[in-house]
Amino acid sequence: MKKRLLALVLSAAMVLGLVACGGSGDAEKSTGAAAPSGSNTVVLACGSGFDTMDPGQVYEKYPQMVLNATYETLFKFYSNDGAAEPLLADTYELSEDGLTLTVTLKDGLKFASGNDMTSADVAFSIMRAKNLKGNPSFICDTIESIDTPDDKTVVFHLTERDSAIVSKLAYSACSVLDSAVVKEQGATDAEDASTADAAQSYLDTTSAGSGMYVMTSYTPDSEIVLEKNPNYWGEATNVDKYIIKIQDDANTQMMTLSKGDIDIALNMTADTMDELKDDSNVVLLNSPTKTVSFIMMNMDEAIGGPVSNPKVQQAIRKAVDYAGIQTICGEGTVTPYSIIQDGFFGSLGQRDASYRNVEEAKTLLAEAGYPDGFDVDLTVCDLAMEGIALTDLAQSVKANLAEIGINVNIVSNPWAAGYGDDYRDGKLGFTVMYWGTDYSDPNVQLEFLAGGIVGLRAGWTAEMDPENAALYKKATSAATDDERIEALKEVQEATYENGPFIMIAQAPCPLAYSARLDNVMFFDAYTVDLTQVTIK
Amino acid sequence: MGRSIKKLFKSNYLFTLGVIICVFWIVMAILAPVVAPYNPIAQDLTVRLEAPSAAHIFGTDNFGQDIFSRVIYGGRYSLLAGCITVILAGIIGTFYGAIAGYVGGQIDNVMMRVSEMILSFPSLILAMIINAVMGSSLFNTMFALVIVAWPTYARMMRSVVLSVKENEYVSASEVLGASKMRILMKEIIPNSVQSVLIMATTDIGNQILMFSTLSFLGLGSAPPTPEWGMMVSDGVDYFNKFWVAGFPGLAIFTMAVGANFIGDGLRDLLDPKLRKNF
Amino acid sequence: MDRLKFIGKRLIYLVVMMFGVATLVFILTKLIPGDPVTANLSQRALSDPTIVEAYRMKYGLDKPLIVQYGLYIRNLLRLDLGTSIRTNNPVLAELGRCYPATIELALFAIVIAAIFGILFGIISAVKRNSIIDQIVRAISVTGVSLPSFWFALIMLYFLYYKFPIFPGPGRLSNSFSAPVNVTGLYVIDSLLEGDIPKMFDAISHLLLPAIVLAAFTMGLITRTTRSNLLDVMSTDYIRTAKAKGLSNVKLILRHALGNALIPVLTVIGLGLGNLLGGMVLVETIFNWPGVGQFAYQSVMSNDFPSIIGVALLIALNYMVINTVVDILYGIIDPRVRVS
Repeated sequence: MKKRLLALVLSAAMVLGLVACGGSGDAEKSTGAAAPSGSNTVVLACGSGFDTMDPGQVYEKYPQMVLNATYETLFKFYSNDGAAEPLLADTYELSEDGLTLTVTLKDGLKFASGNDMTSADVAFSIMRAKNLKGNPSFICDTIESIDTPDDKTVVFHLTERDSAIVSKLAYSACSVLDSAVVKEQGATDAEDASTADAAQSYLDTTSAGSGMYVMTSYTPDSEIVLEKNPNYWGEATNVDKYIIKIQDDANTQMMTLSKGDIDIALNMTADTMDELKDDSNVVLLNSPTKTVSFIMMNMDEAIGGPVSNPKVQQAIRKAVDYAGIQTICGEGTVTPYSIIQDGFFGSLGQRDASYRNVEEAKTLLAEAGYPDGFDVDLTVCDLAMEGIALTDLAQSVKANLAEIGINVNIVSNPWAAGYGDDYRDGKLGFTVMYWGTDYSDPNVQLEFLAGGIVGLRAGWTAEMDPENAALYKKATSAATDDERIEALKEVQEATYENGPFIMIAQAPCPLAYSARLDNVMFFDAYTVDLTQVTIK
Repeated sequence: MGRSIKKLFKSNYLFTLGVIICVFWIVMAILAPVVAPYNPIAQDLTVRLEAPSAAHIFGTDNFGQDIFSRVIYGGRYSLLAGCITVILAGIIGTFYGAIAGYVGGQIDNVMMRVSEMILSFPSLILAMIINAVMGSSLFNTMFALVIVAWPTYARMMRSVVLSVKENEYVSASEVLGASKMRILMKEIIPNSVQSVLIMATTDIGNQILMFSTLSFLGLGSAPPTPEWGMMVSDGVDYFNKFWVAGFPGLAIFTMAVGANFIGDGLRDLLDPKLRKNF
Repeated sequence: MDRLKFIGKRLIYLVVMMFGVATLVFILTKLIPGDPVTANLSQRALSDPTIVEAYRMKYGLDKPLIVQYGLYIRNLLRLDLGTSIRTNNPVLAELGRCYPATIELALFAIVIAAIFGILFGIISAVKRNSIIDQIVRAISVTGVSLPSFWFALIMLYFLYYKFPIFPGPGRLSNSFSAPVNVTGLYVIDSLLEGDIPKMFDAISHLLLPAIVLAAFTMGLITRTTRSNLLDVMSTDYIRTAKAKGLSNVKLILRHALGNALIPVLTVIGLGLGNLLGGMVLVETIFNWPGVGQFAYQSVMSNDFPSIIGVALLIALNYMVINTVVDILYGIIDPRVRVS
């Protein structure tokens, strides 16, 4: 009896062993085959957020990376600090009054379908993006109409001076679509495009652009395959194929990268970077981004309570431990001077960490009539800024404010379950939130001024501070670079110690890639420019 | 009963172990202010992510908070959430199931279909939706867990009641003219509740797990509350530093194991069929 | 005849309950204070009334609730689950995409759980109260008590990263492309393609997540097998057989096991139902594009049609499994058939 039992247990163990061996044998083989060295395929892992791949609808971060490879725009960022430079455009000229932008296209432009690209394609694509009334349509707000006097020339008529127009035209929503192909699929650029356009489901599964790559397969929440565009008009790199794995977890990305199953991991963390620091097959890259987190204190006393008091706001500004928050967010984090991030054109750089002064903060609090501090709710949602949970930032703020006697009670409220609505409607009194730049231009940040989109969310209307509000127009209508720098400087000084916002940290983007790759660079606009990456 | 429990301690080491584990965590939770060396929410950025040492025996987390202190305090939330959920779900399920089973007929039919409907629902998704509807807080998460958990008790109770109902003492009371309510309260429930109790003991472990799963998904108490599930979830970002997620995970695991050992032991003890010698 | 009546009744229940589930989820999702517009539009677009308006119109969110409900039920009767607000694809297509991945993993997990659970249960019952029994029970309780997300990460860390025994997350290695979709189960589809290496690759990717998922159900199966086996073996029938001098193992295999496995079948059925509905975390960690991940994403973006679709699918699963178990009961145990 005992023997029988033993036999039973042993056979079970053998089955398990066999199964495990089968697994191991296979794993070796697959890593062997997948270790992509030698092949011209690059595997990249990035977080989720691929709701659509229609350039007219995309606004999320990672789809822009794909669109940058599959479509092209008139202008493009070739380095992260520089201005947008011509891509499809050959030359361009802005009229004296700043209301007309004339762009000539390069010669020999071709779509992946083999069709030639003309000015009509450009006009169609941009007017479609405008009329779709989708997430990125705001980008075309200043474009009144587009003329195409000939096949090579596009003339943009603007509603007002727009110092960011070239940066805007580099945004994915302004990608040029193969109009012949997409019209067949139901695309339209007419006024009623928001209801009449039917091309999204087509564009969600394939691409119709002129980029270096063509999207050949897209499995939602799983993977995207890009293959080389056979009809590419320009010079292609030596990467023939990209497999983009949609995989949120930083640990998984770290492990798969270290095993050679993937080549680029976009969602690393300080900890996973640390784990790979001695791995000679992996290159680590920690770049500052322009994604910024901020404290928002509602200016409306009925909503903000004590934090609507400018003295209290200044006390909080003095009490926040910027250096501590940089530590929490990890290497590469910086604190911007004020509402315009470090690294942007015209930015005044960083806020000095010595700005913190707890004693001064206490004095200010007493002057405001709260010598013993007060209790306040800090609402925070479930989102994360570049992998840094907003609740983490809230905890830091809570600890900092406790030092000056403000007792913060953190209330968590998921974005989708009410926080988002309250935030949009300006109903939040005190919160920590983040803001990702939609297009790469300092003008994006002007929304933090009184009367701007974000300003209004803090109850900061143009009437409350007309001087501050006027800076918006001044910056957007600047005609020359010097004028622009001057205007942006004014904007930053005006929000350095004034207003409902405290910019607390610009997140870093820790990413890692296989040493067999070259030219992996971080871009705010594309995260990684897939058309520049090469295999050694 | 007392004697058989003693016997259980002697013969079933796992039961004994379970009791020791549970008593340990309960005592720790109650004595947290005495046992914990640090304030569980005191940040100290100079000692971030330090490995276990004499000063911090479970190491420190991202904010330099002492993990040992947090784990000790965390028991308060997890144990409380587990117990309250089980008690509430048990009470609701007991009455619901007893009524359905005792009354029978179409009412039983309808009541059971309703409970089946909730059972057939994916529990995690239901809990997520409830949390989204009510906002996420410790209390609302427990509420969601109760909603998800009670139908299991109801079904169990109903099946027990169906057999208890056939007993002579029940029909005797009916003949004597006792009201239905009285029979339900005085005869049916007391005679059926034992099975529910066994199930509840084991279920405490499950509820603690479920609660930590929801916390892991970001639903539950707000930070910096030291709650085990949330600590694991935060610690996953520092997987390389095993102690951050490891110790709270171990706490959840041991507590669930303890509750399960006790439940198993009690089942053996109280199930008359199993008590007979083989 | 009674059989048919019974089945007919069950089918009617099924339809009524599906309707109930649909209504319940509809109400629940509408109670969520968040607006799908906020969940799906960008920060900037939210402040543009024309964009918000266009979005609402596109998904019929501008209509009164009762009209939305009416439309929803009407479409449901036509087996149209609507369009996902998040992905803009038909919900039915989305489910068709992610359901096979979940089924494949769940079936694999349940087979592992059943084999080892029953085996452990038998060992434990035969050696009741011995050290072996205690060890086996400790293992089964461990399985039931492990937080799955924690366990999954630990398994991945040790068995893939530190000691590369198993392949990493995902359904296939990068060197293979997904097989032509026939059943959606990669193992079977690769076999149909005749690509044996690909089939083995798919199986090896299934192992680790399946073990993690199996741990919990296995514990339950061990426990049920053990107690039911002990139960059956204390019956007079078995005692008589034992008195006749049959050995314990023979006794168990020939006489007791069949009867004892009936309740185990229920546990396996329920376990499968739970697996199909509750793999959110394990799917996320193993990058498994299944129903759990889809459900999670849908809840996070207030994608009502998708949430209802998932709930209906899982409820249907549960009910179908229940019915099948009931029928199997009848086949295994003649007594049930009579009553």
